[in-house]
Amino acid sequence: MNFTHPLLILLLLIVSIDVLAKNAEIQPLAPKSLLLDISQTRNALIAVGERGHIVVANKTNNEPAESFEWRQKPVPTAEMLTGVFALETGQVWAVGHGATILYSPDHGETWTIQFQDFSLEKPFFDILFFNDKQGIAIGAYGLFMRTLDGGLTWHKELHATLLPVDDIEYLNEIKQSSEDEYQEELAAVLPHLNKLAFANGDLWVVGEAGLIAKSIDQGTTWYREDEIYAGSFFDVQITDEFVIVAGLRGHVFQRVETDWQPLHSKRKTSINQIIILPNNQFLILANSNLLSLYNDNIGYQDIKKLSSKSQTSGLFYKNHIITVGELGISAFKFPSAY
Amino acid sequence: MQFSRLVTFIEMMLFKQKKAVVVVFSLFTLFFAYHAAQIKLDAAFTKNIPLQHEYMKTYLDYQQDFGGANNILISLCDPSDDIYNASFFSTLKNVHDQLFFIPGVNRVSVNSLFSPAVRFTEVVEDGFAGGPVIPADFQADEAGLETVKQNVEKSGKVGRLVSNDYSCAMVSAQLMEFDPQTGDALDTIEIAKQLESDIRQKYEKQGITVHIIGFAKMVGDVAEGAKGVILFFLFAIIITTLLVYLFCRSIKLAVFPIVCSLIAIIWKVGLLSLLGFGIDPMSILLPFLIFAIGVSHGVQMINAIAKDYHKSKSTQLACSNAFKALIIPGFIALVSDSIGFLTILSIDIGIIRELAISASIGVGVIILTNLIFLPVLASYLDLSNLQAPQNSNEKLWVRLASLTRLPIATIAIAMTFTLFVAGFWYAQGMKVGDLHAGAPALHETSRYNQDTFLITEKYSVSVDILSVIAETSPDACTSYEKMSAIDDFQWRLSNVEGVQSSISLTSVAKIINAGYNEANPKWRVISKNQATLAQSVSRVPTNSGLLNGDCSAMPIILFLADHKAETIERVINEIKQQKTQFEHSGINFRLASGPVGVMAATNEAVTEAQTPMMLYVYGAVIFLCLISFKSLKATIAVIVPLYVVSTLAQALMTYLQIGLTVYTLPVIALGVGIGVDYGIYILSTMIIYLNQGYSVQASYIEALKERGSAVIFTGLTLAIGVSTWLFSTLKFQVDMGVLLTFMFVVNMLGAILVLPALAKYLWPKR
Repeated sequence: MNFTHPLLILLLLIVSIDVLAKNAEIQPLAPKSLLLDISQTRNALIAVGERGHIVVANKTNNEPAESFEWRQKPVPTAEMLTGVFALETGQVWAVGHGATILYSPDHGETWTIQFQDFSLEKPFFDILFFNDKQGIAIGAYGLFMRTLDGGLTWHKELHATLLPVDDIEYLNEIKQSSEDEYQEELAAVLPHLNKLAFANGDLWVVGEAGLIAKSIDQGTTWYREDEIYAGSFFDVQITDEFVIVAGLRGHVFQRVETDWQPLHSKRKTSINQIIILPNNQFLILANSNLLSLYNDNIGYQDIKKLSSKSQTSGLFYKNHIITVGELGISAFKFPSAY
Repeated sequence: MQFSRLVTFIEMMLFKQKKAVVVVFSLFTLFFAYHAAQIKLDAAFTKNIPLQHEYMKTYLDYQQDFGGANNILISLCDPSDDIYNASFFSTLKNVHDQLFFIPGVNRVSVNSLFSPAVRFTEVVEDGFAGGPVIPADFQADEAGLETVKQNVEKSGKVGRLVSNDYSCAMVSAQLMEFDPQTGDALDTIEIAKQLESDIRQKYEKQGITVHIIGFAKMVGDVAEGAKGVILFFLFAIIITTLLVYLFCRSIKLAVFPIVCSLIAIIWKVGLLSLLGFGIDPMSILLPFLIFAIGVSHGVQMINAIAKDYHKSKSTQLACSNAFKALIIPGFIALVSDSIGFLTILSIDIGIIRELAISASIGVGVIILTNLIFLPVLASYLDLSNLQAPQNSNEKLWVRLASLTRLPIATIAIAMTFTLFVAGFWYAQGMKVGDLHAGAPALHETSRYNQDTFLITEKYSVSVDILSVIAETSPDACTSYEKMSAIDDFQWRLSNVEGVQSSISLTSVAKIINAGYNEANPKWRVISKNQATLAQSVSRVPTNSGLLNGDCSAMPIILFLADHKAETIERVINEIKQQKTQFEHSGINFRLASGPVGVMAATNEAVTEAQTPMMLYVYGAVIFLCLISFKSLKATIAVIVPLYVVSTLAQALMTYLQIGLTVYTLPVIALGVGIGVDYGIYILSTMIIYLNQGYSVQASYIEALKERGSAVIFTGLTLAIGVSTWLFSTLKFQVDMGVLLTFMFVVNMLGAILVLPALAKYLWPKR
């Protein structure tokens, strides 16, 4: 008997996929489950999280954010979703574990799988599109994929330039003896890539073990910044005046021109995201139930206590702060005193 | 006629050997009194649960691994609403140490900030850092307290070992089922006493308050409340004696029912002690009931003696005639009481069975003491100055007898029927289980329930815990497939209304997996990689109660919003319906453990027992009526009012929000068993006259003359005896008291108001 019969392989594949390939369950508590990222189109706010949960709020009714009704949408995977990126026009991509990339053409109403590969054993953490065709998705262990056709096809890339100089030198030595070994070693040493930010032609990425890198050619080549901190960064944000990165144990650095200034939070918990607010203030979302606001005059101050013990992502929407975290969505009016 | 010959024979034997009878009874009384004095209070946890129930088998199978439902929570609260001060921490430490040394406490399970196993972990640049929340070199100074404060935050124990508002801290422990030194069942009441004296009284000072909850403490408080019963008992004896005197106008005669009933209690308690039973706080009310039943039968007896004496003028003759007249109806009435109690045996809960046994013994004893011993003893009396019986009731009897006139009988029956239909409709709303928050045995205002409310409010813990145990193959916790099946099922259950939160090995493993990845919430998944999964699971100790030694059993612990019967039923039904969908990968989900698991099993046992119990008790009562009256009509006349009253009692339970529980279910059987007595006494006289061709009205008047005042009196005596329970500090005694009082009074009314009206219809030509 021929064990490599194509039908047999197909059958095995179907059986093995079956365990992992299940749809997200629609459950009443999905908007209160662990949600990890939030984004918005012209019409809707879209949050993604554990168990393939995608919840959507319609913002065309002009309701205040507290009274949004969050509805869970059918999703063809139950993998944890870690990042979501939306274009104003209504095209939305979400990424997550199982190297999953999902796509919605209609403001998050319906979803299809664009890419999924459990054999990689790597999760995606973030996705970003430069326009409606060209985009990149990043994740653990240097996972980096690019599309040029709106996500119909995705291609893997390995970026040695994301590594510190020492590692690059070491890899170059290997490369001289064997190209295969080089590729293997490169894939093994690449750090987790945690977050992308793109503005004014500059693309920034932050990641594991102090990785901060910038690209001016949409991520084809990278310039790694000198190390300012050995721990991981989880977020990077760009404004007209500065770039800001934040990460482990309350570390925050602000880059004005070419200089990184420490602006560490008073609390030593991991910062998952920074929300840039008007007047150059920003808000820190961390593994803590307290929301901390920074402005140049006062420094950090706690402005809100939430029930969720960690805040993973959020956005500023019509004078409201909407956050997602361990206990799902919370929304409140940004206090006018600030 | 064989019966009457037998009766005459027994009467001859008894009254000829009067002295011997008195001596034998006295000796027995002394013997039983000696044993009664040695009876012990006994309140084991397992007695309160249906051990044969499927859920309880699960509970017992995993009691060793995951701890049972028998735990103790002690919350200390600081008057300043902030625990971080030296005096609070020294008290907390003392309480921790003290609890550790209370015998019967499972020492491994003692948990508080001071446990070395309570650790914090934090993520640092190069991995984890951590240590015990309270460091070994802890000094309760400003710096030390500040360190602890930070460690507490990092440990994630806020809401469990420290209240959410930082005003209280918790010490918890599990109790063992057996005393480790003696091997005997653990003395729950003794533990409760020690908790009160060694912990609450010792450490509740300087404004620090001590709040203790848990099954053992609850039983202790119930036992404490049950002591108040003795006072009610004395009160009931005094009132009853007074009533008996007013009834028979003779102190000499009045003494007999009281004394003989007290003897019955001595015999009963002595017998129980000999049989190895103890007195349970739950069954401490039985002596009242036995006393009341004894008195009511004794009163029938002295009533008969007094009436006969005025005819025969001989005490000896009066007593033996009374004996002959009453032994059969009395015997049948008491046997039906006894059978009513025995039907409760069909409920597979230790405490209810004990109740059944001890009540039947009590009633059985009354046959000896009040039907046999009483007339023999009374025959020694000199009754020469006994007052003539008053006929003041004559008018009342005539008026009552108008119920046997057809139009009035029709109205009476129509009214009864209307009441029945309304009651039946309303009774459909009767709920099974506990309908209120807190411990149902105690009042809502009791210290115990107040403490429960405080703890559930201040902490994120719920005392209403239900666990479903995932049973699978060894090392299942390293299988992604199995772990994700458990996790998916847990999520499904978390979405059931009434489930507030949940925890299992999978939810903890996910957090640890994130912990290994710099606490990044985006890693909060069950790893599909077996080695990674094993790494996160290995950090969970087996004493966490989330897995057993070889990881072949893992509970999903659900925290429910409350323990109302409908909440429990809803959650249990969802579990039963949905579990098969997750049992595909060699996992078997077993119901149920945790306090709510016990309640669910109890509720189910009670629900299941309800119908069979009613069938048995009515079957027994009908059978006894049939053989004693040899008349279907008479049986109908007795049973119909009885059934109407049972239905009305259920309607009353609905109205008063009394749930059908292990305490109230037996009451219904008791009510039927005792309630039938009135009908039997009235009809046993009526049927004699009916058989002789008298009209229904005349027969009824005769029956009332002979038995009427005794029946009314009995109803009142019984009602007064049990209505003293209304003042009890124990909620379940109040509930039982309300129901029994209702059933005694209304059954009595049924026998004198509805029974004659029915009789008119059953014997229409008379």
